[in-house]
Amino acid sequence: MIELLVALAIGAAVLTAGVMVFQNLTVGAKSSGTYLNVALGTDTLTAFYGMNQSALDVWVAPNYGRRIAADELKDQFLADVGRSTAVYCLGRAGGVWNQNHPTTLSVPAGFDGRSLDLPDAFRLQLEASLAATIGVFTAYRGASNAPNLTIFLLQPSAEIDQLSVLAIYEVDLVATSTPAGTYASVRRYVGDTLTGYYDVFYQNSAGVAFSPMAVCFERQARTSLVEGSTIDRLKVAEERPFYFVWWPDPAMPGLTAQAGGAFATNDPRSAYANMGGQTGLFFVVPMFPAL
Amino acid sequence: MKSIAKFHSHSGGVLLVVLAVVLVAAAITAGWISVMTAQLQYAEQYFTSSKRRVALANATAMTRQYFLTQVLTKSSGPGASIDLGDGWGAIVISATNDTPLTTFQKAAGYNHFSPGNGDGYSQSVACAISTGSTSQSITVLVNSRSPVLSGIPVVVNSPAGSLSGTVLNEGASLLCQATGSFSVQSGSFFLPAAPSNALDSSSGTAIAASNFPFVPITGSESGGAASYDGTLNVIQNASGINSLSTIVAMSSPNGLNVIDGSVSFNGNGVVCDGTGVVTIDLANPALGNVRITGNVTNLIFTGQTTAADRIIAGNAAAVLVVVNQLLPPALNNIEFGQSNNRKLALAIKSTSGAAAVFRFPQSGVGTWRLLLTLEAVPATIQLTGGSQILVGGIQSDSAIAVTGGSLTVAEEPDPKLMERLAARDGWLEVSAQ
Repeated sequence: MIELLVALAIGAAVLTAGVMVFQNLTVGAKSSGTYLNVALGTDTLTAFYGMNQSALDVWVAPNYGRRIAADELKDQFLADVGRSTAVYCLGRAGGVWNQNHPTTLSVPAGFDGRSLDLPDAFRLQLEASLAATIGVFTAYRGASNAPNLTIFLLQPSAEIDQLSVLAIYEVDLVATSTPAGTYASVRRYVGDTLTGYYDVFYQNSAGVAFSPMAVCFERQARTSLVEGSTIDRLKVAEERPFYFVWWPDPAMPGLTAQAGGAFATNDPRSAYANMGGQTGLFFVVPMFPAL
Repeated sequence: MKSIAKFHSHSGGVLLVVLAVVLVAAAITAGWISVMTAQLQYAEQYFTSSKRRVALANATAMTRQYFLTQVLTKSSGPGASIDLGDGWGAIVISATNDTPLTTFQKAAGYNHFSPGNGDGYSQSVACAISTGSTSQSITVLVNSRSPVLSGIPVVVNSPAGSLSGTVLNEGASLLCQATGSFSVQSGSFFLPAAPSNALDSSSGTAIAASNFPFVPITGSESGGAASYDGTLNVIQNASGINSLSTIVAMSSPNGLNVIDGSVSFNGNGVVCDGTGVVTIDLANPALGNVRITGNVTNLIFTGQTTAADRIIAGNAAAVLVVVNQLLPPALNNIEFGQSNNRKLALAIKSTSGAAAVFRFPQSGVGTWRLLLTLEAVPATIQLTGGSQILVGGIQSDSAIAVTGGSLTVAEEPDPKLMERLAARDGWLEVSAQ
């Protein structure tokens, strides 16, 4: 009788443990093992990866393996920022992919790099130096609400009449119908060479806004000129201008727009509060890291 | 006996089942613990990664602080080894033996996004940083360049710099003095300090300060420590570093003329009548640098009268004139006759606070090639109608009033030939390897 009671007690313990392990494994399985064949179109895959195919097998979010890949790219990005002299975040409209990945940009005699003090000033210089970029990037001050993002990281150049590009990061969101959802891709290029990337697929997240992807905070010293609350609310940098940058997070189950909170229109948080809780991949990036 | 044997047999079966269940339970529990351990390690890795980044930021901040206080305005750096402990950041910096504000070393590349506008002088120092779990190297460039020659023809310093009258700056302005009055129209302007009034652009519309950061910069020390408050102390400072009184003695192929206004002198294009009147002939190719030590009340520059003379003067050696008149009488009249194409840097320091009048007697449109530095010299730039073009720039820590016409300030077209005659600002650039 005693042995029977012991056996029952052990059996109960085993069953309890088994249930807990099963729960762990099933939760894990749901977030680490599913991938889908996503129709992205040949143009998109050619632009992103140089692939001549129309669909791609993609891990479905949440996926911790892809998050690790994202973390590796994040570390690379932060290391690149530490080596950069200037960082410019440029927005792109939906469905507009950037395939311009120069290593140098020609600038005219008498060029003054200090005049490129805003992302849009760099965009205009980029278009002047590289005509193929005309129309690729959108103009903005403050928050870039365009659905895609390109980040240019510049470094000292060997020639006085050139700007040297250290690396370019592309952050793209592609709304898909087969299956329905959003494909997210973040890539690093040095020249035209793709040197790192991560991607993930968010089911049932088509059309959900993941913006702003970048917010440019200007120097406080610029408040003397009143330009409207949309711009003036972000003139808060004590000394050096900087960005907030968000990347899509493979560990999140979806792209879920947040309520954003009730902030006054002149409160800087009103520009980006909806990004709270959307991703764990958030950066504060100085515009001129070396200074 | 049979029932006892049967009981023993049944009991043995139960034990076997129990052992089997324990075995399975152990395996499952081990698997569960393994999963939990992996999750803990995942969290731990995140913590380690975050701590490493904080340690890197700490170490970089310490490095910046060291160079700003111990190197930038000095002739050597003692080196440093600092550890915050517990893996929160450590640096090892070797001793340095160079003077960043007077070095003639150039950087290996061009950083267009720097206060020096992609050029200037640079001292490179490699530093070892430890973040506890990792170590890496960062490079600190201790840079310097004259702001006036870097595309900023108008520089207004603390404590009392201001501009009034009609002034059009074709380049950028640097306003280190944030509370004064600035009536200059400028292509753009940099404002390192607190918010100020917006300036007008050259088209007359209000513009905001540049978003480009201009801090921290310094050109000198105050009380033995680098000064980052926008003050100007580059004509004769205590350390002798970045001091034009020192530079004037070493930067001219035609040598140095030391003038006391109470002593007659005549030679190399410089005439002093012994009663405080000094005339400097900028058309004289033999003219060297001039250092005026005192007793001068009138300083007269004569330029060139013909186009041919101006071409010759443009190719002649640059001239630096330093007036360091700390005792009475005050130098209160400086006159610029004709036009001038000779590269001229004029620096005047006074502690009396006496105002000086800069007269341009020629009417109509005139052009003077001049890089003017004023310390504690409130100035009136008195024009004779029309428009005067100043090719070079103005740097002052005192009030400047332009009267009798409009003053246009343009960049020096050939700054390379003036770099060694000009006082500099210094700044840091820090980048990872």
